Amino acid sequence: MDVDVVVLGSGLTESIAAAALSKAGFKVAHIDVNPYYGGDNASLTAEELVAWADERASDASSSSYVSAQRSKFTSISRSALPLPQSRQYSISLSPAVIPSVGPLIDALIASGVSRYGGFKLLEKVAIYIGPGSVKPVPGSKEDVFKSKDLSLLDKRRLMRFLMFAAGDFEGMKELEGKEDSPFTDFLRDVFSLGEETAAAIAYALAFCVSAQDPTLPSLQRIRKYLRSTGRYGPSSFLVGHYGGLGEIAQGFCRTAAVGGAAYILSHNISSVEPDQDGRKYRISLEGLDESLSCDLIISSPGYPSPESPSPAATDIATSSNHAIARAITVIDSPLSFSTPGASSDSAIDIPAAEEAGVQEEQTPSKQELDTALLVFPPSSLPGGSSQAAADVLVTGEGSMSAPKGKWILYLSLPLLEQTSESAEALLRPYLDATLGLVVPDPASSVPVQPLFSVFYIEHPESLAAAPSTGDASALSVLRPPPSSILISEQADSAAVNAEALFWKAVGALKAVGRRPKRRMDDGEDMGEEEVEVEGFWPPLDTLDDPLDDW
Amino acid sequence: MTSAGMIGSELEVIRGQTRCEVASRSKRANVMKSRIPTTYVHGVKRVRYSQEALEAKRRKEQAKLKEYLILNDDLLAKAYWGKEAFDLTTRMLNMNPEFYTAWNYRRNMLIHGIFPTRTPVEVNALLTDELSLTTALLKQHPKVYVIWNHRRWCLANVPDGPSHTDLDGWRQTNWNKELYVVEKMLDADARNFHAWNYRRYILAHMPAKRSAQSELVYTTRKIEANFSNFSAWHQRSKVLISLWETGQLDPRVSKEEEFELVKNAMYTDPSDQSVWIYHRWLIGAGEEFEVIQREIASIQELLDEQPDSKWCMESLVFYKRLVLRHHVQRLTATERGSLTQECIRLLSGLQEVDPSRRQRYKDLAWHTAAQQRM
Amino acid sequence: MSASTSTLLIPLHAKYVQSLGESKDDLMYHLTAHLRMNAIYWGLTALCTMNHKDALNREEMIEFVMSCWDDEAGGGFGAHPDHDAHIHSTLSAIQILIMQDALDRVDVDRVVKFILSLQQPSGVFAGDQWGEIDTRFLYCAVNALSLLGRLHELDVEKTVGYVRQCRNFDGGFGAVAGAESHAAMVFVCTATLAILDRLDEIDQEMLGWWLAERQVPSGGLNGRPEKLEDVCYSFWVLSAMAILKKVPWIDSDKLIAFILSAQDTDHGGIADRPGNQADVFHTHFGIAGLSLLGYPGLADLDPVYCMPARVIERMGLRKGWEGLPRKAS
Repeated sequence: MDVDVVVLGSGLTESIAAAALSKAGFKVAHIDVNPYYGGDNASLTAEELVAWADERASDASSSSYVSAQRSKFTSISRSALPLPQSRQYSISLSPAVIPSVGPLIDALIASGVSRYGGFKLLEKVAIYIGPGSVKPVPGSKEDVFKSKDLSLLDKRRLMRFLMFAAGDFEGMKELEGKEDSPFTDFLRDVFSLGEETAAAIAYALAFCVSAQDPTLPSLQRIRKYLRSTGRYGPSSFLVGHYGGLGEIAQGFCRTAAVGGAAYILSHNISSVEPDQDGRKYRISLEGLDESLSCDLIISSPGYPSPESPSPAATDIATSSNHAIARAITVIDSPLSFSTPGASSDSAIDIPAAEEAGVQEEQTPSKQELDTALLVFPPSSLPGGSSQAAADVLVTGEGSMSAPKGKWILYLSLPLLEQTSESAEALLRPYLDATLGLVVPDPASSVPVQPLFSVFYIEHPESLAAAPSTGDASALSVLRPPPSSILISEQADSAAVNAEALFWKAVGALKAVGRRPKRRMDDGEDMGEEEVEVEGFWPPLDTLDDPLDDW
Repeated sequence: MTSAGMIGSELEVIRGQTRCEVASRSKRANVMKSRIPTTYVHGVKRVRYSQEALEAKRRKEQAKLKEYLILNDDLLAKAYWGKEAFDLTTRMLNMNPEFYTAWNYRRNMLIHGIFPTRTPVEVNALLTDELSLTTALLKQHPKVYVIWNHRRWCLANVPDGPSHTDLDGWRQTNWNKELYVVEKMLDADARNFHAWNYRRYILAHMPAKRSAQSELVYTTRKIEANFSNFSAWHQRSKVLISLWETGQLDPRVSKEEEFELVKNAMYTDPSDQSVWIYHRWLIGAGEEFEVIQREIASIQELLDEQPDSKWCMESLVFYKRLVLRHHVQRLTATERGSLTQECIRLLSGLQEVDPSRRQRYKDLAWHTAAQQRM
Repeated sequence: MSASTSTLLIPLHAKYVQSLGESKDDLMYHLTAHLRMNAIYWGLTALCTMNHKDALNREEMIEFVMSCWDDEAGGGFGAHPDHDAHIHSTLSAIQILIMQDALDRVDVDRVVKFILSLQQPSGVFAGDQWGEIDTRFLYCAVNALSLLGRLHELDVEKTVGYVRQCRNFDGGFGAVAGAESHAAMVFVCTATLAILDRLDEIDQEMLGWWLAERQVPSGGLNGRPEKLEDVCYSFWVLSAMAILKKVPWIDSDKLIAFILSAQDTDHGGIADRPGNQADVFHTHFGIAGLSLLGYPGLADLDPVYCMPARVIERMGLRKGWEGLPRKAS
């Protein structure tokens, strides 16, 4: 098969790029070694997750892809099975919340992929302040208005900051010369905010990793999140149904396939090499007779490329990103973020009898959380990190990721320094503190035990491993840059990287004389016509016409 | 609404002018996108689509036009009453729910042709179907007067039943459902005045009344969700008046709580009009000298923290002029003079911070000075 | 945008209004049949304000209006032939006939009877026999009776009594008793009181404040606090301000710029906001607003009746309103 571009690996960045190239009119073949879409962003059933963990934890000799994965994912431990209803879970390898305004949502809408996916609003973001106790993060005018923790003057100052952060602050005098100084200092010095408020803003609004995070990017993130509120509801963030990014990656793959891309899963790659005259690449897959020929390769980390046919463990080196200790835990009791006695929600008490006639009036007790995010600032937890903030994403039945009555907890702790401790040892204090927020079952005196847990450390991709393009040969291999490790930024950075990758690919393909073609449907005359690439996404071919509802 | 659901492929967001909240557009606004000279539309963006898409749309539309015109002629002939004609109105109204003549025709058929031949159970079931139809239409067209009006008509026609001992049973069931529907509509758009008017209508007319207290709680919830929502503050003012007048709440205590609530909003966002208008309502004619003095002091404190606040200045002028008008006998000539001077100073500050309304501030300054001379 | 948006493109808008009747192949044309009578009134008034009254054929228009007479209903006009009579289309029909100097075609007694039959015990008017009530219908009734010279048949106290019930503490008026103040209802109530010479019912300083606060930083006007601006409020708000003689209380230059920025400079017409689809409703109310702001080259529009001032003056109905003086072009 002869195509314009072969994409190796179906992580979110690669899948978006594949969809855009396919829609632009290029012939694309998209390959993943795994039996599922999404690569390191995949959403897996509990069974698949166990297989995933065991394969990476074992020493059995295996493909080059798996050995690269073993360097990327270390310190893996898991609890024993069985987990009942294990196929009803969609567990994400890259837990993420998606800002309602940003490059990923833009890409979902412009590509039409949005129609394949559903989303749930993140219900709450809270900050951990001590055993059994959390506080909501006042991230909006309404939160500030309702807060019982803030004095009138604090309210005014916090709002002044939020208005500043929502505006065009670049070049304003408050920021001048402080763009790179630590954000927490900026909050204290410029906006006279107290320590607790500043911590909530830095770690649970800007999702800073540490107290050293610089001011300007933190402000830019906050601005994006503030502008996201209200688009789909009161929260800035969406959580994708069925495990989030993996499902979204699959949606882009589906759109690529609709545009004519070929998909091959579950096949190892036996060789990637230039053909005889050095004008094209030839890719052979295990178990397939026909090889693929292409002008351009987009190759995810861990996949062989012609320059380094078998990626070595040394590829995995330090980059700008930190390693992250991760835990995935399943529980069967819900969490609650309402602090005993200080709940502002309970102030609203609708007389139950009066509402009886009103069907399923959502009683605003909202004790139980379905989809929420908890942030541990540095030093907030004995035995926890004194440098880095950790976060816990909770997803339940409402995000279609777990069966009824079950919740998945995703713990993430960036590792700012080398450590010899295991993932489990690093995260155990956070897990215990989180379980301390479980709504107690009045019928049981036994403390909550997770049904299932996996711990591991995820190492960052190496930037250095990306071969340079545009060397002597006319052939090119592109490698997608790594995504942000911030839970709130990963999705958008994948979309940004995908667009950059798309334009590089378009440039490289143009350079070798490849032109995009679009199928023409002119009544009798079926053919192909060369087209120009006008944008990341072409106009949608079908209108969502409300008159279709007739 | 907790679930964001699918993201519409044309979902678009209009940003408020002054602050960071965002109101999502109603679906109604998406009705037409291509260049068709429409008569009456709001918020429809001029959008470019691919040639293929537009051509496909045009073809589809021609087919629909044909269908529509046949339907239209049949309907306006109004030649017969029967199931066929009734279904015709259903199809027509699904296409064009603003077609008031089709609603009239439908109601005439129900009243004169259908109801007389049915049992009360059947009539009640028919009206439940009518309500379901309008619920579906309102989701698409939340601001169409005639749909809301048809709901009122349905409710007014619910028969007595289900039994002699429970004559209001059906009515109560239906009216309770209405409250639920209208809350959903206000969840979707908390400023929809059709929905608010309908809500007041339901609350006033339902057979077993809900307490005004629970309506107060509802407005608290709406205000906590977004205190720019003046519709909720307005409703709150109406509910409180009824609670005070019926003695269910002590006006003195209750007013103090309201001042506290609104003060939190004033400090959170001093530029939000809704809050200041509500505060003005709370002060009312300003009979209570101590209250108005205390509020003036409190606004002055906020102005000290936020020296460019137009609404602090504007409200100070209003309340100080109120004092000059209603409590002049409590003031010495010097106090009168200095209050007047403060107003004039604030009004000249307002001309700076709010130049669009400069002439109004000039006029007020002139009047204030003239009154002092009198 | 191909042309400049800093001036009102009068010939283009006149052509746009003219073209509206020529789109009978479009579905939307038929989907809006229930507004046709109003649309013709909007279009004709806009043309009169732009001094292009003759752009539409007088005879055809009168024929159309008369073909909407609903004899069964006992004396009103529907929005379209075979549509039921309604007070809103009836007012539009009368306004059109008066602008075309063709009121002699109507059986005025029956129209008056139809209108008066719609008054409810509370004093408000229903739109038709189905009983939807609203201060808009009350205005339709008072305006039409005044234009027909039959105000003396109206129970003025009862009518004013209902308007008073709709007044709020902010000085504004709502659609029904208890409803939130809304600029469109402020217009209909203020204009009603002006026609009935009862402006003493209004707290003019308070309402003037509320109206002046409708202007948002873009220069446009909104209809309620903390809502988005929209070209049609240029008329709802401004008409009430003109009746209270308080138009100078807002920034007219910014409002003019906002209305002009909502023009479709390619095909003509004005939209609710810049970049949106134009329609005849916003075209009319945008131009009406510009007329009250003294925009050069336009005819005076009477804010009480929303008709050409010349017509109202000739009938001896002019009230004491004030727009901004007409600017020299």
